[in-house]
Amino acid sequence: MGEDTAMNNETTDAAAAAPLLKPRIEVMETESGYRIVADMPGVSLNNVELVLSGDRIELNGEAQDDSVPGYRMTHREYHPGTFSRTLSLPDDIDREQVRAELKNGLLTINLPRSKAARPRSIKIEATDGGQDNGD
Amino acid sequence: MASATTIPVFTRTREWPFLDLLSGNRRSPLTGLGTGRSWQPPINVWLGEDGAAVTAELPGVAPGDVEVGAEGARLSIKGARPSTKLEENERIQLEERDFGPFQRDMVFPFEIDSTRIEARLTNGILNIVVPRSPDDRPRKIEVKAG
Repeated sequence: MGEDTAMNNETTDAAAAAPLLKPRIEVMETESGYRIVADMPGVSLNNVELVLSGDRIELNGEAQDDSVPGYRMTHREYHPGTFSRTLSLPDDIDREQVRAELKNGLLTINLPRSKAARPRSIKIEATDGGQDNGD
Repeated sequence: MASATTIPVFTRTREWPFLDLLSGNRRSPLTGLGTGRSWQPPINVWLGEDGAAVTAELPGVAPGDVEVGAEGARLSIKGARPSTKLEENERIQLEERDFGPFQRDMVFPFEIDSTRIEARLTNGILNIVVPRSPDDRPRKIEVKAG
């Protein structure tokens, strides 16, 4: 009880209605694409959802309540609950090839660049032996 | 002298990808206490008649990366959270996650039966059952007539 007051409406009923947690992420980039790694402690496969829409990606879900029946909580430093995070995406992603996996409480999303957007070298051909015709 | 600056309004995502959208009503990160490299996993503790239960958020930590020990009434959790392995030519664009060594110690109001401690790591949550030593259970003292 005292804890609830100390936590400043963090544990009130109203707070349970809206998604309040925001997973921490890491974003990596290579020439072939992007990789997002998100902390998902206490989140199982059927409690997480990824939505690609327009130029954004949404990470939604819920970390399971881990309270122990018959025991009383004496110390709390984290609050499992609903989370949500929406990120803008670069426009060169091949949306059909986006893949994700969940392991050890870590969600990894691979977002390959579309082939057309990947850098490639252009061969420069000489015509007329590279002669400058002027203009 | 500071010249007039333009506050960027990030509406065009292609210029600034991986922006956090709609984040105004968020409360806190899903995990982590402190910042930078001084990372410690957050823990929750429950007490019952026959012992305690401790859970800790350890996303990205494999069972081999964490060690649980007990001595007397003290329980310790220590280990290291590995940083993300970068592939060749991979660059980090955004880094919010913490990693590195950690240690949490806690003292219970009872002697721990260290032979019966159980620790399990599931979906990035460490769950430890901390049994109270049988010798330390409350017992009734018979009051004799004198």
